[in-house]
Amino acid sequence: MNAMNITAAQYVNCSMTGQASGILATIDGIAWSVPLTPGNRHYEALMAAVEAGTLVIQEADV
Amino acid sequence: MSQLRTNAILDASGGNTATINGIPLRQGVLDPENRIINGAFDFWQRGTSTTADAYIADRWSNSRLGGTVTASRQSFALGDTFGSNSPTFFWRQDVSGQSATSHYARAATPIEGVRSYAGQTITVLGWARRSSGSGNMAIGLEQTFGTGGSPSTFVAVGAQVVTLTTSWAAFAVTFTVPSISGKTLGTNNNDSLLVTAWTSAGSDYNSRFATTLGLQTIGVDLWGVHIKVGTHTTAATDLYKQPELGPELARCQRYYEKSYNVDVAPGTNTSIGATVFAGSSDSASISYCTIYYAVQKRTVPSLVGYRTTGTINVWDFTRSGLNSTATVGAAAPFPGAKSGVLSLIVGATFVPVAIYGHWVADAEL
Repeated sequence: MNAMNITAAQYVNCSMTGQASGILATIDGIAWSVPLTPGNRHYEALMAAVEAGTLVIQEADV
Repeated sequence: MSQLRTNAILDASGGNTATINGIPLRQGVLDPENRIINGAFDFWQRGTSTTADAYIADRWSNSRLGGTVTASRQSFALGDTFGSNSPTFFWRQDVSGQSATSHYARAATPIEGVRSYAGQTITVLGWARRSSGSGNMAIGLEQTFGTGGSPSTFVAVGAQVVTLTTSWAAFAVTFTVPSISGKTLGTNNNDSLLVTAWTSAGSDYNSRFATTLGLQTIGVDLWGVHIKVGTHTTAATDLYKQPELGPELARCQRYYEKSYNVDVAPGTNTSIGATVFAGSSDSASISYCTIYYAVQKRTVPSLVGYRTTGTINVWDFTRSGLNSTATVGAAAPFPGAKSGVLSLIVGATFVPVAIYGHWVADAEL
């Protein structure tokens, strides 16, 4: 609902599962751990920015 | 036990003023039909003021574009009353410097589920005044059908202007909420009915108004915003009872919860309420702290951690005689709506650690 200022985003792998477990994203100056859950407003904003071509989510560190 | 079966109870004149032991038999008294949360503005978990386009009071955002728009918590004087209520805080939105057709300012609160009141006549009631500047406000509704898949486009129910003065006065605005028959919901379970109190609106938004508001320089105060099914006048505000604090906080926490005491903003330098976890690190020098929410969230929330000093994304830990700080790594495994996990990088493998810090979970619409 609110416009979000996204300045950084990177996928994060879980050391337990080795799978992508979320996105560490700096949104409005706060680094949120964002779940990969459609319906989460931060995740929705990240996906909208990717679709709009204004954001590239970095791959996870290995 | 005997049963009384009837289709209607009316007063002696056939009207709607009948009572039982003095309690009016009216909608809203016997039927908890109000779905606006924190309309009495008792809870401000995030803080007490913002100029951002963001939530600030629980469930209420400072929705805005352009100029300077500040939403803030204000206090009533002890002894101030509205009807039978003795309120504590109210919402203030100050707007200035807006000039473009795309500029706007409004207080906005989403009611979860676009099914809410669909096809019904409802009245949005409350109290408002103009605290500075000139102009009025407008109350509106917007049905949003969510995201994911191919949801229907949002439907604005024409906002109606409420004339303000510098004194508190009750308002009552009646809407016919459109049916959602034939509409398509998104697949992400984030559809809603948005209730808005516009304080400024450029001409780009004229189509959302029954009568246009225009750009304004104004301060608007709000309190006691609630919904009653049916058509009502301002007289119905006499029936409003501000919510009990405990249940209302729980309703807010479905969308936003934190480890801090409820009146302490995230990032405050305090250890009160901090979560303490004792465990071990794994082969990647990470320790995982599970957070159990007091209230199950609307969806899997985003998480952020704070050191007790207020530094973001850092917690404190102790291990093997070492006191240091742990970086809050990122999203951790198994995120859920009932619990979440913070991963904390403690810098050594397979060591016992005790970690502590604060957290915030956000599952707002």
